[in-house]
Amino acid sequence: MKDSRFRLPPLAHVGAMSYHSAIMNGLAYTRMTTSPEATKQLASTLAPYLHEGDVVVLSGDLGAGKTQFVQGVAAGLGVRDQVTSPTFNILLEYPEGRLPLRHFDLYRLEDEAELEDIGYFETIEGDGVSFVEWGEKFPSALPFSYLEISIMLDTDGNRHVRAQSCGDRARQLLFVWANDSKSRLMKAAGGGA
Amino acid sequence: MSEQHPRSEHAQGEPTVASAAAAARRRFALAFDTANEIIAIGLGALHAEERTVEVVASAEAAAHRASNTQLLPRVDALLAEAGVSRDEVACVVVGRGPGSFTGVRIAMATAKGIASALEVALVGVSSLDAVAWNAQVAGVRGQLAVVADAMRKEVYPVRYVLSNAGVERLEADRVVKAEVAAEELVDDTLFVQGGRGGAHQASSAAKRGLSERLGSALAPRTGCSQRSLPQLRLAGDALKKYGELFASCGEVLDEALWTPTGRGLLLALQAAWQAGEANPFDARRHDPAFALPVYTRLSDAEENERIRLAKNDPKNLNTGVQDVAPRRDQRASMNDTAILNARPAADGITYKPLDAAHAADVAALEARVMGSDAWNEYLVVDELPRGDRTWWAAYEDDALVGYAGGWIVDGQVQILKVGVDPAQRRRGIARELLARVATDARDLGAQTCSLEVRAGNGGAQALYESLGFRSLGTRPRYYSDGEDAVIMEGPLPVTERDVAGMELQIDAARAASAACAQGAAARKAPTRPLILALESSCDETAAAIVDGEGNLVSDVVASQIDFHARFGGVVPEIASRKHIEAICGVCDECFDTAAAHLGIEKLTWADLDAVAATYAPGLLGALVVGVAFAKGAAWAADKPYIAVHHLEGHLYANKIGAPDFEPPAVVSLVSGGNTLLVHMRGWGDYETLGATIDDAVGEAFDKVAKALGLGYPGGPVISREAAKGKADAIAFPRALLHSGDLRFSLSGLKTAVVTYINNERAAGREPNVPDVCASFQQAVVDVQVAKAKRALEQTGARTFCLGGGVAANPVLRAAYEDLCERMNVRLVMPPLSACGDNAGMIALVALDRYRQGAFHPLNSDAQAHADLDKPY
Repeated sequence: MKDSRFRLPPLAHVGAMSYHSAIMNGLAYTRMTTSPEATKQLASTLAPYLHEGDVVVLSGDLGAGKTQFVQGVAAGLGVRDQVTSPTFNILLEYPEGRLPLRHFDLYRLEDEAELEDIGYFETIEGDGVSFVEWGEKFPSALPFSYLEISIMLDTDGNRHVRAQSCGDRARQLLFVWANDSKSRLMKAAGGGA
Repeated sequence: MSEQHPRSEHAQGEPTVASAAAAARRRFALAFDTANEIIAIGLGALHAEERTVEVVASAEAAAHRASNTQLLPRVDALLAEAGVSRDEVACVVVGRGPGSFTGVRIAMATAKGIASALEVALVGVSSLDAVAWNAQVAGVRGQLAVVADAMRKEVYPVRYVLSNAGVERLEADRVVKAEVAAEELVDDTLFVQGGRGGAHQASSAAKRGLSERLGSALAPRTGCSQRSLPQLRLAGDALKKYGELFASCGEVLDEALWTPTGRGLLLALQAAWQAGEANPFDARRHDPAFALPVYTRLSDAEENERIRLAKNDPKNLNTGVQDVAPRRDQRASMNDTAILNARPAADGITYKPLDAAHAADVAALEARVMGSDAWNEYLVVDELPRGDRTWWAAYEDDALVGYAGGWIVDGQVQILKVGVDPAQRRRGIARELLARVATDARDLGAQTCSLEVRAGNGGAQALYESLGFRSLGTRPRYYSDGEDAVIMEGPLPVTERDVAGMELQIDAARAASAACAQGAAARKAPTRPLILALESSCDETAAAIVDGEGNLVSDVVASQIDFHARFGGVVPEIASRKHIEAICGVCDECFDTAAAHLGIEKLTWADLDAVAATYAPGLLGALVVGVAFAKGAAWAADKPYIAVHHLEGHLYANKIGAPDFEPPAVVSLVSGGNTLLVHMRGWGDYETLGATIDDAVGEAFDKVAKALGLGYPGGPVISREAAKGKADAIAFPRALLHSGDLRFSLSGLKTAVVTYINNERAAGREPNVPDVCASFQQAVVDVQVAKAKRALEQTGARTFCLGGGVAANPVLRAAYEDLCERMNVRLVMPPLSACGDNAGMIALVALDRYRQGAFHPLNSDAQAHADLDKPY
């Protein structure tokens, strides 16, 4: 599994707010899902705990179920519109749920400068919650706190969903989510305290 | 050419009695800014004699990302409250940022729409200057730093000195890390020394004047310790996030003074007016096409290009793309494609960015035309990689005939050199070179232009005067032979019909339209309604005008394909930016072409019955430009606005080649962003039968082309290569072929092709490009045709249609012809020119909408995604 810890630039010297000061502060949980429905169910249990400004970075191979995960969250937030892949549009927005939901796919971007033009920073720092696919392409553009969800497909067709927090807010989010028995998340071996 | 004759309101047009009366009515400036999460609107009365702006109304409201929905309704309400009508607006003032990219773009596009439709001046002012002016009028004096939030822990800091006389800006816009800006302000040398980098400022007379004024203002303080200096004040929306960080720099002003206000914008206009930098009554000087957002830097792709240009790596300019493949960096670049693709203008002159390979030619021509002041080759080569320089060259039959270079300093481009072969003068080459340099300079943040010219060179001075330059004085014995230099300053000399350097295709679709066969019959009064439609959902900036009979009387597309080709794919950053640069030029061209076809002298926004734009789906940043512009123009011209779904446009495009086309039909839409089958039960009644669950077909073509090093766009290249290869050479997967439904999946095929290429290369074999292309294309076609067959069987429709850019693929077209013949179904294919994105198809939808009275309010927005099946 890719670990973005090692690709992040060194700590900036001022403030805990820097984009570059991200610290994977330990919490990690996993769950195996055996169907797309189960992935969506897991995702929908995250929805009640999301706050304005939360950022979730999704990673995983094509077809692993990243969009399905967002579909589950959308359902949990009360979004009724169909959630589709944002690969072409880069950003799709679903304003009608409990919180505005923004779904990015940075796959087609080649250059960090393009993030500005699509309004990436003003969006993830704005109201609503942002889910970002291929966020690991631009590590220095990740916010100071985010939840990383990686989904791996094994040879039996099962999905291994791993959630890891980065920064204080994400740690708190993951803690309450994992404590919800409906999420059925298990503490991961790799996660420290 | 000096400030001695203030222009009257009548200066902008030929004074017929009616237009003079209309012009006299125009005496208000409408100003707005949405660069931050605030909508600021101001209305000011213009007093031409004193060059003052009297603030009539100023309103601010929180926008929270909703400025596109709220701006126009609020502008409308403000004018109504003040009792001012639209035709009393003489000038639109817009905040150019820096700020939120989306916010600036919305304000700018709206302002361009309003100013275009009102045919008045559009003056861009800095959003930060508006903040500073607002503080000044609120009584703040002394040093002020405005720090605006640039997101991602960066800020836009600008320092000012505020006095009773007004506001002095001490530095140009830039973007820096918040903590760096804070450190700079704590340890400030700028205020003490009265100017950053005095040496280069002194090279501009205007800037020198500024530093002299500042020098005297600051003189008593020079040499004092920092503590004894008057306290620095701080404003700007960055203080919301970084208040603590900046607290040690000075006194933070009240939060009400952090963001631009209508009043601040109007005062910034007044200052520019009094300084001769703007004239709110001069619509020609402030053509809406010229105003652009503040770009604090070029995109990195362009920046890398600039660095590449400076390298003199040997390349075969004649074989071009062939040459690109073996290189390690697979990016087709400006050197390889833009320089190659540059085509001679009508007069046989080709304009290209200057590369190091031609530096010696430039030096040789310099020596001929500049005498003892000529630069040598080394000096020219040294210029090219510099980030704040731009150089262009003109060639005739590969021989250098002219060159020009500019240096962008503090919002101004200083023309370093303009040289034209003496034998080639009076052909407009210098003017065109200046325009190219000016366009680049504008992208780098320049707003004005300055240069030195020999006192004895009357011809050159006349050229510059015709471009709106005026003399600021002379610099005695400037040249090495003792001749004086005249210093001239003026607006950026970009060309009048600026479409951001893109190719314009005019009436490509219209020519295919059966309706235009009427020809001479069209030379009567146009059939109502006349509707102008805009399309800006992805690559193309397009405008078209349709008449009441469904004839496209004009259809203009500015293609960004060539622009993207330099960078090897759709670069959204560039795509959105180019729309805002091109949109005015495209509309002007659209009106002119329509007027010519209608046999009338002039067609304007006032002659229209409605304005339409694509509102969804697509890249939000691109769509927003077309929607905001169209709404602005519709409001200004008091016409209804019509929003159109892009994909419905593709359905209507079938009418362009076959006016008798009627639903029911099954339509296959395949493009860079879409792959779907639609059951068209009637006009406006659609059912999406199936769509791609991952990539679009066009996207797969682009990705495969990129993996093979074939360049962009992928469709035409792959189809060309495929014609030389065997379609059954490699067995690529046909995803979902037997899924039993009408969904598509392309990502597996794309991955299979890329894996195959990589495996071949890993095994030391160069893949057979024609075979890969032919086999890939066949896999796509097989699935497309099989699903189309199923859709026809399922719906029982007797007509099959194509839409989207991929519909131009000849193998796909042939396969559909074969299928429809076998099934005895009518096949309707739009002409090739109407397959891609164009505004003609949007205009056709808009015509139906107009007849249904389906108008959209001024608070409607663009959407990245919208369901085609739902009526809107």
